[in-house]
Amino acid sequence: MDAPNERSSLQIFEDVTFQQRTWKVERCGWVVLGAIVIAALFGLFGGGWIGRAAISAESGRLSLEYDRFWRVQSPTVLKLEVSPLRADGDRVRVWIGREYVESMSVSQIMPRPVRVEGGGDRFVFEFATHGGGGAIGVVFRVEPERAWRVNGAIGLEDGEPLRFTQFIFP
Amino acid sequence: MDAVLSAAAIYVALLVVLRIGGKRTLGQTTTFDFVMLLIIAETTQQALLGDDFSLTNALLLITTLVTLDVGLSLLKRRWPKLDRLIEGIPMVIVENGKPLRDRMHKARVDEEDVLAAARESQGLKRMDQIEYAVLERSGGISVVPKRE
Repeated sequence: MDAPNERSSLQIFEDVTFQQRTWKVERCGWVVLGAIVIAALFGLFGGGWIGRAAISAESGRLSLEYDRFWRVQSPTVLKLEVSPLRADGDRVRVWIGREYVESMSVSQIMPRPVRVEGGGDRFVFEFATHGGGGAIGVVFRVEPERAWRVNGAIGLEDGEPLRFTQFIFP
Repeated sequence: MDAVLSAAAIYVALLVVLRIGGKRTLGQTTTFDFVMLLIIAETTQQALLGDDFSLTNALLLITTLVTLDVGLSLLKRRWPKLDRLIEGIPMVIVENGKPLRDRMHKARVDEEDVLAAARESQGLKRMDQIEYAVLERSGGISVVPKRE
């Protein structure tokens, strides 16, 4: 492999040991790159099987679907399903912890809340329902404004809060 | 997950489109080819990034593209047929000073291109000084001069 005397006329600086070391590092690098891509396919950086999560309250009246992992300044959604307290109720009230709203920019809420109240450590959103007493779906379009852990709490006014954590990649 | 899928889609689409476009499409960099390259790059960039401007997304896209490229090069080494399919094969277009016009027409190369390549790489003056000119897989033309 190494025959410097044959190339004595060629002005070149070769270092075969260095080259072989580089190749070894390259091979390891390929494995790492492949692993990152596969992890991303499974949802390590958002979306996919491990990226999406769903939790629901013990009462069954509130459930939340969110991204366990997501990326900063990239739009995503929180999907809620809320049932009114009484079967004939035509309003549902959901609160979201202030800490969460402060770390996210909320670009849209569907359906549009009929009332939003601030106060203490939470924001309360009141939504109109069609009255049948069934659950309604609510979608919050949010965009993380800072990276790292974001803790959220969400709940019905009379129920236990659902706590969730999103990890936001930079 | 989306980043990986869109990077893969763009990679495959570009591979197919540029292969169909023929090797001369971006094989030589005339002014217009350069502009084409810029436009293609700009358009793909929009499709890849969308509204996700995070560092993670960018790194993930790059990682995916590089991984696909390395993976494909390994596959090509294992299956020469795949290599031929993706990269094409070299083709002789001038033999003993005589241009093979049918081949040149099909490959959209004219005598001027061959002469330009002969001047640039070998300092040749005329067609009859060329022993072989080959349209390479890269889209460039290589010239073997006749031995005087």
